[in-house]
This record gives sequence, C-alpha cells and structure tokens, in this order.
Amino acid sequence: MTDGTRVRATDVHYAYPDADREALAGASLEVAAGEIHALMGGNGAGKTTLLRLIAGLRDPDAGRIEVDGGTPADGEPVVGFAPENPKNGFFAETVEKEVAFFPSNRGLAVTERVEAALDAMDVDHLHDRMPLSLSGGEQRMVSIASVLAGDPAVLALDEPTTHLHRHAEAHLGSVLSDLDRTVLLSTHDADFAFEFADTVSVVQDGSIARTGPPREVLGDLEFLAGAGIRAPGIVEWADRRGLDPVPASIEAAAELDVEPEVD
Amino acid sequence: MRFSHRELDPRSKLAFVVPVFLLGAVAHRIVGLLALGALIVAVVLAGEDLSLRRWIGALSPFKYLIPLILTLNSVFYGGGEVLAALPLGPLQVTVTVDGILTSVLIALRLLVLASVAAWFGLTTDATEFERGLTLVGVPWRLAFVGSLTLRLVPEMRARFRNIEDAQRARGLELSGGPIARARARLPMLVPFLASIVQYGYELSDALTVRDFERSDARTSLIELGYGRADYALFVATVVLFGVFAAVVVGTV
Repeated sequence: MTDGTRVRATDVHYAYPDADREALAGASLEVAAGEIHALMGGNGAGKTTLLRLIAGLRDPDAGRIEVDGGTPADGEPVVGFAPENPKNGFFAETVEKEVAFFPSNRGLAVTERVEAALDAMDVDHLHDRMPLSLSGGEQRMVSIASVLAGDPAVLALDEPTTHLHRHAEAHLGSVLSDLDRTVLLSTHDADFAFEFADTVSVVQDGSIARTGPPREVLGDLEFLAGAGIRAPGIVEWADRRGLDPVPASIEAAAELDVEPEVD
Repeated sequence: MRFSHRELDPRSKLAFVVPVFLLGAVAHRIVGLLALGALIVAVVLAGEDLSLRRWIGALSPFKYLIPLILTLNSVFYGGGEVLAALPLGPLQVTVTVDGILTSVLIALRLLVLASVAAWFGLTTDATEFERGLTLVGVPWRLAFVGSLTLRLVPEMRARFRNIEDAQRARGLELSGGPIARARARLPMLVPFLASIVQYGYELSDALTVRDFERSDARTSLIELGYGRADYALFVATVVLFGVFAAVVVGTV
C-alpha cells in the first residue's frame, strides 16, 4: 500500500462456530502508518474479533484484510497482538525470556531487541522477574514489550487499559505515543482514546459505524449514546458548561477560567 | 571442590539422567536400586546449590504413594513362603516373602526414577533445557513443548489454589480426613478443567502471534557451553555406569 495506509480491512465477515449471528458483518477499516487507532464499541460489538483477524489468528469468512499490502497469512509483515488477559499468554520463567521469544522466532538479534523493547515500555527493571508474579499493570507492559520485541509492523492491543488505574493508563498512553509505531487497539476507555488516539473507529453490530478524529467522534454525545459508549469525562464536563471547543486535556481545561463544579 | 548444579550444562545432566532411568527401569535387584539411589544422593550432595532438604521435599507426594504400593503389592503379589494369611470378607489374603520383595523393588524403582527427575527439575532452567535438547538434535518445536510442560506445572498448581481459595471464601469446608477432603475438592475439577482449556486456547494464540509456527531460523538468548564440572560429571557417569550396569543388570 503506497497511500500511507498500513492496515486495510475491506467488507470483512466472520462468524464463530455455532454462533447465531456474525461477529463481523461487513467491517471496513483503514489504519494509517504511525497512528494510534482506537476501536471502540459496546460489549460484543466485534472489536476483539476484528483485532484477532487482523493479527492473523482467524481467517475472515469473506472480505479481505491487508497489512502493508499483504494478508496476515503471508508471513510478512507481522502484526504483534497483545491479548486482553496478558497472564494467559505468559509461559517463561523470567521477563527477559518471555520477551525474547518473538525476536528469537523471527531470527532477530535477541539481546538487542529485548533490551530495546523493555526500555521502550519502561519495564527494564523487571528483567529477571517472573512474568506471572507481576502486578496487573506490569504484566500489561511486559505483554506489549513481548510483541514489540519482534519488531512488528503493527501493534494490535486488545483492551490494553483493562485493570489499569488512571495513572498507569496515562503512563501507557504516553509510552505508546513515544513508540512512533502503528498501534491499533480496542478499548472501552473513552478518556484514554480521547487523550491518546489519533483516530477513533466505533464498532457497532459487527461493522464500523463511524471513524474520525477523537474530538469529532467522541465529542458527539448523541451518537455515543446510541452506540452504547460512555462519553469522555472531559466532553461531558465541557457539555455541561456549554464549552466549545472541548479542551484537549484535563490540563488544558484547568487553564480555562471556568467556575469549579459543585455537585 | 563442589560444583554448581545450576551451572551444569543440561546436556550433561541428561547424560546422567537417561542412563539412571534406563538402569532403574531394568534393574531387578534391590541392592542395585539402592546403589543407584546412593549414587544420586552423592551427586546431589556434591553440588553446592541444592539442599538435601529441598530435594527430599520435592519427593513428598511419594509419602502417600509408597505405603500404598508396598501394601497393595505385598497383598496381591503371590508366590514364595507365606508369612501371613488374613481373612478379608469372603477372600483370603496372603502375604508372602516374594510379594514383599516385589513391592520393595517396585517402590525403590519408583523412588530412584522420581529422585533423579526431581534433581533434574529442581536444578534445570526450562529455557536451558529446551536449548540443550535442540543442540543434541531434538526439533525445536518438540523441545519447546517439552520445556513448556515443565514450566506449566507451577501455573497449574497456582490455578487450582485460586479456585480452591475462591470456593473456600464461599464456604467450602476442607476439614476432615483425606477422603473427606478429596470429596470436597471434587466440585473444583470442572472450573479447573475449564480454566485450563481456556488457558490453553489463549496461550496457543499468544504463541502463534509471536511466530511460533514460522520459527525456522531461530536466534537464541542463551548460549550453552561445557565447563569443568560438566566434563567431570560426564567422566564419572561413564565410569560409574559401566560398573553399575554390570551390577544392576546382573551380568557380573
């Protein structure tokens, strides 16, 4: 793909065995190179299924998925998928060995890739720890490091903010922003998507209902209510005060001369 | 000078473990199995980073199994001089000299095999084990599956404990004798198996997305090499097993 699109899903259909309806029913999506693209939607909307198909874990029943012009089954380039529950993907005795698995399989310089990935995810101090003994937030960062180490073209992260407190979420967001990579993630966390995503796509009933910049998509309260998505806190706050445009962040809101809210 | 068990090359350890397994499996003399057991104890004591207590602790499940084996085999293996005849309902159970000797032989064989496996498991890093297997020609995927089995034992135990804790928090009683406790644990089997199956699916996906199936030209984080202790263990293994093979198999 020469138009700057790294991932393209075109009219993708997929149904799980024995399911009475399609999990994906004509989903089409484009992810630009270098952007953080958030998939949002209610439970069962099809976000995780779309991520898994893009990662090559399942083949679509119909439609086409391309990553850098090739299909995920072609072998190259690689999509690095980090599951929602990182614990169930760990098997090694130490973080270093866990992170080494992917670059080893790809025939890359293992030591360098492991050090770079641990450093990028800010978990180099966990080097010798056992992955299964880490806290939820640490496991999340190690899980992403374990796919980042394989130098994938795209990082596909399933609900990366699950079980993270606000501070850890902000840390994850800034780390992902600094990676300078194409990141496609699913999330229920509208605050996270509003602050850190470049593009938001809303998945509804197995297809993409809307795509656009976070301020546009997550600023449309009527649309969000119909899609079953809770609006970002800052959007709700700005709406109550009639502020337009919505401040870019809590820090930006704090600089505005607005009466404090008393409930 | 004592050596480090953990720094031994896994290939050296395998070169020790495999003959012990073979000799232990074919031995038909109690004295031979005792001699093999003594050799394993000597190797454990010769190293500096595995305490005898920890090694014996790893064999603790056998404190239930060995008495069971001794009892059942003494009772049901017939032949030889009858030492006692006990009525058991409509049956007449006899304890014979051959039955006792056979039960001791079986129990000792099991202990020898378990004790050398425990030494290997306690002192060998799974990744090094996997690397060692690939260096002796075992296909990497097969070696990985073997090492994965070692790695997942503690995880399975932790999952079972989590389920047990969750059920105890909701009133499950685990008091009483062994049979009562075993019966109380029965309801845990279904959630445990469901948890294991789910874990298996998710682990399989996690391996797949990290190119487990395309790993033809792998690089490795670990490089193994033989040290002086490896050569010493290897020479000792060859010499000692030459003697033991003759004694245990009974060709001398």
